Amino acid sequence: MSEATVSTTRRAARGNERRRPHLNTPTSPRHGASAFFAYLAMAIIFIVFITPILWLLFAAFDMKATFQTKIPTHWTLDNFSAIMTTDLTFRPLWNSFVLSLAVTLIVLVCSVLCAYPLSRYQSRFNKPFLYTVLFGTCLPISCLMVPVYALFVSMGLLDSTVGTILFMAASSLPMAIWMTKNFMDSVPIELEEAAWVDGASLLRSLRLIVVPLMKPGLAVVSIYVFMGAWGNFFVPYMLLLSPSKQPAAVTIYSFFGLYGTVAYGQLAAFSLIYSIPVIVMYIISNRFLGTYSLAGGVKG
Amino acid sequence: MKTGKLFKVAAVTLAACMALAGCGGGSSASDDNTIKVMYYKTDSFTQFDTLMKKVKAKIEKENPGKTVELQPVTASDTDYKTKLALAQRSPETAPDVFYEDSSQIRADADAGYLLNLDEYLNKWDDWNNEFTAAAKKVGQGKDGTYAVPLSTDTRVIWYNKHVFEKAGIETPWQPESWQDILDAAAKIKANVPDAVPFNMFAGTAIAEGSVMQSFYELLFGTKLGDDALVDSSTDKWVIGSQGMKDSLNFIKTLYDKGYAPTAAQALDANLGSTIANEWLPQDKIGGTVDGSWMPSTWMKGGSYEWPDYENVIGAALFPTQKGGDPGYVSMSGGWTLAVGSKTKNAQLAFDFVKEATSKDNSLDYVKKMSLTAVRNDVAEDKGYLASTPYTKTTTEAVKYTHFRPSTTEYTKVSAEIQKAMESVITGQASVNEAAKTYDEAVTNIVGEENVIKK
Amino acid sequence: MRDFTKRYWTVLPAIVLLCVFMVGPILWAFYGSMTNMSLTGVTATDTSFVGMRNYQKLFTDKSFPQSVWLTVIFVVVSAIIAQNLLGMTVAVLLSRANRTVGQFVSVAVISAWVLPEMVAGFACYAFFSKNGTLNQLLGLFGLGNTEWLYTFPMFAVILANVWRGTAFSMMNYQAAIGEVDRSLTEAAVVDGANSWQAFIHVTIPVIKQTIMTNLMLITLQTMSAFTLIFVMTAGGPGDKSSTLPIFAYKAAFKFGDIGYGSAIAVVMLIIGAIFGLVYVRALKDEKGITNE
Repeated sequence: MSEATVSTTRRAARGNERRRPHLNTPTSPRHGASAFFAYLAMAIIFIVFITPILWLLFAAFDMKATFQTKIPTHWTLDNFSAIMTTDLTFRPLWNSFVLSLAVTLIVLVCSVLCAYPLSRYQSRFNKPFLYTVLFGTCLPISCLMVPVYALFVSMGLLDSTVGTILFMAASSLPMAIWMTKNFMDSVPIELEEAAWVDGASLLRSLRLIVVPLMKPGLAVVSIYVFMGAWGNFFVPYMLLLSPSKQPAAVTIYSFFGLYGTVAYGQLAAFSLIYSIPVIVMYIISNRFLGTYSLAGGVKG
Repeated sequence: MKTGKLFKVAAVTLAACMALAGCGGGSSASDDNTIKVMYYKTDSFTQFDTLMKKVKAKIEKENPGKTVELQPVTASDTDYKTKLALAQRSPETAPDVFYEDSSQIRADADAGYLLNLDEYLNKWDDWNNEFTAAAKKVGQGKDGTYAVPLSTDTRVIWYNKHVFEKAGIETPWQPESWQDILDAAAKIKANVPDAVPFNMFAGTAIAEGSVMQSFYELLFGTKLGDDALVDSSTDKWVIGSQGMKDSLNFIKTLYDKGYAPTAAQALDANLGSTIANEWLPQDKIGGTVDGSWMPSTWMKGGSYEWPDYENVIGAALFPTQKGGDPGYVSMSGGWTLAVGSKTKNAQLAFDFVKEATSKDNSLDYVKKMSLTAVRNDVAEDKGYLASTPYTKTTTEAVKYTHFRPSTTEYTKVSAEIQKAMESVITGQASVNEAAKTYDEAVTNIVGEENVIKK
Repeated sequence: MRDFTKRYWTVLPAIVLLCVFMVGPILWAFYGSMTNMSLTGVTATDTSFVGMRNYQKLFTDKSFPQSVWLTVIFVVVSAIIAQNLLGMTVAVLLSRANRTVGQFVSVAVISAWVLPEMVAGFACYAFFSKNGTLNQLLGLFGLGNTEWLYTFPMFAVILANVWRGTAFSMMNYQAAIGEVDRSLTEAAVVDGANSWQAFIHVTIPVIKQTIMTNLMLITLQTMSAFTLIFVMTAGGPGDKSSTLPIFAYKAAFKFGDIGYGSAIAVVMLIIGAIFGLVYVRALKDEKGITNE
């Protein structure tokens, strides 16, 4: 298990130098009829997967968009300019950003701190703790929302951005600890041992030696957490009630409920703007951290 | 050292984030100088938002140093009710003043969410002199008055004269029994194939709308009349009645025969506004049962301004099952303003309510929304009487109107009726099964000792 | 002991966070499920202990077994069968394809996964709606009058979940296949096996671990999927696509019965816990998880 993630790290370190293995044997689909079917299958898969996204793209630039996929007769940015208001776009996006960034930082700090002793010291405590963390990654968060709501009411945290951030951080912690611990395992311990001899404190050696060496791994964890928080709808939908605090995922849903059956184009434009940050993040992570970094890390 | 810097940057950013988030948290917690007002608006319902803004300006001007924070929830009325209930549970988020559906008052008062307004109302001359007796009943809880109504409403049939004439039905049209409605629908289906003959809401997506603007018009027109839901002599919930089955059966017939919209459309929460904004103006529907506020969509300032509506749209009363006494059925509800029990500034909150329901504001709102007045001085106003050509019909409906039972269990029972309707039109249950499920559910909710078999 | 504290104090922030915001709600769920707490009405504030009544109600409520059944169908069909097999197929095809073609295909598949869930939900809503793209395409063959979201809601949400989730399995398998020692498969081919046989007999055993992990993770993800279904059908029509998370949401917030909603949450937690134990167990047997 840990090997899978370690290999991810190795891959990450190698970056995009990685090449897929190709089998150049007579039965490989590069030749003959099987090649034809393989490419046919890929063509079908491509078309099926891209179609719903094409609708989004086309509708966003079409004033007369419907639910059908059509290349716009007049490409226009009017849908975008129509939704460029503070209430509709800017504040929700800003809220999403604050929410996701805070969640990411908290998770990152907590999981690095938490993973360090687990990775560096031997203790009877490690195994049960890690099993519990692993177990925690399995719990279905979406059905926790009923009790979480009730708990937030009794703690007076309802409609509090800080409370929401803390809950979202807690819910992605198990996976993050697990990933961080696995990444940390691949950092050789010898360097720190030298530092310990020099009398460096735990935090100091963590900061100066371990963290710099596992930057790619931490980047993977951050992106994983950030994307999760950015796309999360259910948690802020239940816990944040004032429109002024709601992130884009929630406002886009109310927009859909109100105008979804009329302003298709604006809905699509809104969706695109809201999606851009995570797409960019994914591309960056892909480019600098290796193709499978995210899935590989999650798989951890 | 580079990483050390990184750590510092991270710490600073995190602190900034939390501070930002904290600020957000601070602003909504109301203090002694701020009241929060919660209500909802949709793209076709902005009139209330306008009213609230106007009242806010006035209150803030009259009370220097005080702030009114408006929190419009952009959602359907169903989602609004959920959001309001979610917010009410917690003192930090409970609004000081809010738009409250009259059916919700009893339950929310029992839950301790609402402030008893008696001591404030007693000192308010308008309340004592101008509000009608019926209006004062609307806001009643177990032990006093908890809400001030803005208006009341009635339900009638709205029909499109073009479609009816094309189908060969004479207008003005006034059905005298359920069969008349089915006959008209059959004619429209046969002669105007591109129009939906007749809509009656059904299903949980429309929530309270599908009982108020549909089911109760049927149920209260059956043999038991006003006692069809709760037996007035014993105060017990009625189960096993033929009226329940007949009403479900009528809905089922309407949908099964293709007279109503498709069941898929019926389960769309936006059906009501689709009908008002598109189908009725475009001659795509014969008729629908809806509230007296319907013309507000087409009036000047409405979401679909339509100067010609008076010539195209007709209004008719909803008939009893077989035309028996009293001949017609209507339902009245209406939205009210209530004050939250957790408010730290009750006087200011009440002043807000008072201002919002004053004669001028009330008149203005009632006219814009084409609702029924709850104040005598508004009802007598010439501008009110002339506001739409339908005022005569919608006011006549008051004579035949019914009210929802004001008990704390009502909302749960209502949800069960909605489920029963939905299961019948989607074919998940037969009429008898759905009626049986309803009986069981009601018994469960109110307890065996509070039901009566009829 | 002092040594332990000195070494392990850094786990505290994480533990505090987890205890308050994860363990807290879980414990609350057990408590809440035994009360008659509701969103409004007398029982909103005057909550009393009702013992197992909510659980009894669960087992007499017709909608509950249906909801469990729908969840099982949703997980088995969309995740275990479709996402898993399709993901593996695409991974294998890509491992042999021309680079450019491969990139096009993986961009298409991954895009669906990278989009925020809400946006993916809209795209699918648009795709399956009556006037949507699916009917537009079927119209080319003279079909296309089906209200997919209404008539076949489960079919629509299952396809949507396959569309959205396949990338995850694909990437897992791509990573795993990439790690398989090429000489092994080549040796098999030299021995006269065709590539299909080589895949079955050489690749599959090597990536067995990944398959197991992948199945586990997609099962859990799919089981707790909320937003996609919420946006597309909101669990309807009726309860026809109400999987457990939607069912719990509706019970607690739409019909205001928080106690009952908590009972459903507890049932889901127990199911999740069982899966979790199996998962932890399987990993434990396979190899140790610490670096001892």
